[in-house]
Amino acid sequence: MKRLTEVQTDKDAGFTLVEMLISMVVVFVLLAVTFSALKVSSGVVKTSNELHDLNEEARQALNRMARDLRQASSVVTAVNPDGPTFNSNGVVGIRIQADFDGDSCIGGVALPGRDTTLPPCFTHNSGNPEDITYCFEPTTRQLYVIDNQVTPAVTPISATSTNCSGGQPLLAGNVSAFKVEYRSNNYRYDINPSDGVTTWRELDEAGNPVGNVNGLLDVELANIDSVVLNVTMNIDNHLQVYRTQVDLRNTS
Amino acid sequence: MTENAMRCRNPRDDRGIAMLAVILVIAVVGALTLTATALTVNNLGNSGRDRQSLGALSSSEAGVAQALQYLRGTTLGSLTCLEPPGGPVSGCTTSPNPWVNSTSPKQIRVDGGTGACVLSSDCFKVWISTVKPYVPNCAARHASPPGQCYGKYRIHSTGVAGSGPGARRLAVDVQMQPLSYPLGVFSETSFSGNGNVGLHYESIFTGGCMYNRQNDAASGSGVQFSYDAAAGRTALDLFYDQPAAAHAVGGISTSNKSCISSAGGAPIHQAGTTRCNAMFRFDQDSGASAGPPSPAKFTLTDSPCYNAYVRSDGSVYPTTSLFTQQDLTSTYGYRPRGLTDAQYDQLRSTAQAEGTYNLATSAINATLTSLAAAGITSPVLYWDTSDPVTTTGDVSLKGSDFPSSFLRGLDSSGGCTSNNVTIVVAGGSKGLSYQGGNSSPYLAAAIFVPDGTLTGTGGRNTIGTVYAKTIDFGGNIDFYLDQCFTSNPPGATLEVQVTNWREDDGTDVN
Repeated sequence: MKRLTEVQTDKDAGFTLVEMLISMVVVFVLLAVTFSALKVSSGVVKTSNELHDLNEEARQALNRMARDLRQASSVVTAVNPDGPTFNSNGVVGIRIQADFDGDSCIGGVALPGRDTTLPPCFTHNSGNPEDITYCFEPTTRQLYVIDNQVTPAVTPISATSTNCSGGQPLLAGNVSAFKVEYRSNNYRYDINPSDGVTTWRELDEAGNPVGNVNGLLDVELANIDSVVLNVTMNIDNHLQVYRTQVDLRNTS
Repeated sequence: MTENAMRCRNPRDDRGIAMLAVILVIAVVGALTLTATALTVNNLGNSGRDRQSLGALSSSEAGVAQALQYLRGTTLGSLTCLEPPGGPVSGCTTSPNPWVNSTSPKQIRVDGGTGACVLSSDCFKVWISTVKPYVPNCAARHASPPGQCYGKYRIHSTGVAGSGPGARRLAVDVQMQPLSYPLGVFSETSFSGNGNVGLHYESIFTGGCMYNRQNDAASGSGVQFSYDAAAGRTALDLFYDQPAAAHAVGGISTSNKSCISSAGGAPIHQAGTTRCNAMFRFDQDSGASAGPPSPAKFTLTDSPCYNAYVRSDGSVYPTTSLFTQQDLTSTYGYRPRGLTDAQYDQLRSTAQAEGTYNLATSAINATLTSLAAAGITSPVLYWDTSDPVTTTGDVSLKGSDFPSSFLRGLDSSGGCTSNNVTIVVAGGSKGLSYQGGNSSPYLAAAIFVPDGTLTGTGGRNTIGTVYAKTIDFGGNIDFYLDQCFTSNPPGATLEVQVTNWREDDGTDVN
C-alpha cells in the first residue's frame, strides 16, 4: 500500500538524468544522420541540376553547330584538327561558309560560278552570318562563334591563332576540351588503316589529287564530307563527353 | 502493479521522437524522390522534344525525296510557281496542283496514316517553286566548250513530328538540265530512210552513214528537212538554234546503197573537190576530209556553206562541213549507247516505281491514264529486252496504245504543260517498231533504243527525240520538235542535281 502511494506521488516526476542523456544522444544522432542525409541529398540535387543544365547546354550547342555544319558549302580553315599532332592545350577552330539564305552568295559575296541572271546578293546579315568560325580557347574554357564578316573586321582564325578574338561565347563555360575529326567519303583512300573511315590524314598521305603529303589539313579540306564534333565538359569533377557526326550536305 | 506502470509510461513518452525521426526521414526521401522525378520528367520532356525535332527533320527529308521523285516524273512546264527575287513567295496559291501551291501544298503522312496532315500526325508538306525557268537555248549553248542550259527550282518541305513543336522546314535548290546526248534523231551505226522521211525543226545525228538524203527544197522521197523558202534554207533546229541538218560521221549519201562512191554511193562531200555542197549547205560529214588517219579541220571561207547562219547569240554556223566523232562527242554530247548505264538504271528504277516496267502494250492506256491523274505526267516505259520471257521479239507500239492525253498537235508555246513519255527498249538485241498515224495528234516522246533497231514501215508521226543504235525507216515517217517539247522536256531525261540544302527558318514553321 505504501509503495502504491509512492508511485502515485511520483507520477508527475520528469525523466531521470540517464533517460535525458540517452534521449539527447539518440536525438543528436538522429539529427546528425538527418542533416547529413540532407546535405548529401542537397549535393546530389545540386549536381543533378548542374548536369542537367550541362546536358541541355551541350545539346543546344551541338545542335547549333551540327545544323550550321550540315549546311556548310565549304570548310575554309581547320585549326588543330584530330590526329597525332592534336594539341589539347591549343586553340581549336573550324571556319565554314554556308549559304543560309539561298542566294548563292556568302554574306553578300557571290559564290564562284554564280548565275549572272540571279537577283543581287543579300548583304551581310549579322543575325545570320554565313562565314563563321567555331573556336575553342582552352585558357578560358570557352567555345566561341565568330562572325568573320562583322564590322570592325576580325582576323580569321589560322594555325598561329592563340585565342578566339572577336568571338561570342557559345556556351556558358565549363568546356574542358573540343576536338574536331575530319572525314571523307572517298573510300578508295581508306588504306591506313582500312577501317571504313577515310580520315584527312589518309587523304594527305595519298597525295595528288586529294592531298599534298605535308602532314597538315589544308588542300584536303576540298574532299572533307563529314566532321565529328567532340565536346568535353567538366563541372565539379564530373566529366561529360558529347560526340556527334555531321555530314556536310552542300560540299561538292 | 508498479512495474507494469513503469513499463507503460516509457513507451508512451518516446513515441514523439520516433515520429519525428520518421517524418524527417520521409522528408529527406521525399525531397530526393521529388528532385529525381522532376529531373527525370524534365529530361524526358527535353529528350522527347529533341526526338520530335529529329523526326520532323526526317519527315522534311522524306518530303524532299518525294519532290525529287515528282520532278523526275513530271514536265518542267507544270512548275508554274515563280520564286520572287529578294523576298518570300507570294502568290502560287491558285494552282489546283498542290506541288506548286504554297498555301495548299502536297501533304503526305509518314506514320502509316492516309490523307493530309492532321493534329499529332507525322507528315510533311511540300511544294516546289521556280527560281530560274529552264530555257533550252541559253547563252552558254554555243560557247566553246558548250555549256548546259538549266533551270533552277526550290523544294520547300516542312516536316512535322507528332503535335510539335518540332516542325522543321527545308529549302533545297535543285538544278535540272537535259541529260547529255544529241537531242534530235540519232542513230549510232546508220540512218536509212527509204520512204518519205521528214524531219521538222530537228537534226539528224549518226556515227555512221546516212543514206538517201534528198533535196529539201524539192518534193520527192528520201530524207528531207522542213524547208523555209523565205529564208532559203532548212527550218531551224529548235534545240540547237541553227538550221536543221544531217550530221554524219560516216558520210552522207544521196543513194540508198552506200556512202562510198566506189561502192555505188553518191556522197554529198568528197575530199578535195566537194567540200561545200550548196544543195546541202548545213550538212556535215567526214566525206570531205583530207583523209585518214587525222582529217585536218578546214574552213570553207567564201563558200556558200561558210557562216551561212548567225545564231541568236551572234555565233555563226557552219564554219566547216567536216564532221568527226570528236565533234559528235564534244559539241553534241554523244557517248556510246546514248546514256550511261547508271542513267539507264535510273530510268529502269523510275519505270519500276511507276509500274511501267515491261508493261504489256494492252495495259499502256489505262496505266498512263492513272499515272497522269496522280500527277505523273511524264512517265517512263521501259522494256528490258534481255529478258527472253517478257520479250520474245521487237517491242511493237502503235499510236492507239496511248491515251489521248499523251497525244497532241504541234505547239509553239514554251509555257505548255502537255504530257509526254520516255520510251526505253534496252538490254538485248531486240528493237522497237512503232506505227503511228499520219495526222495529228502525235505522240510526244523521248525514245531510246540503244541496243537494237528502231524500225517503221508504215505511217508514224512523233514529236520529240530519238536515240537508237540503228534507224531503218520505210513509208511516210515524220519527226517533229516544237517549242513545247524543247522547253518542257520529259522529266526522266533531265539530270537533277541538288545544289543547296538548307534549313529555312525565315518564318515560323509551326
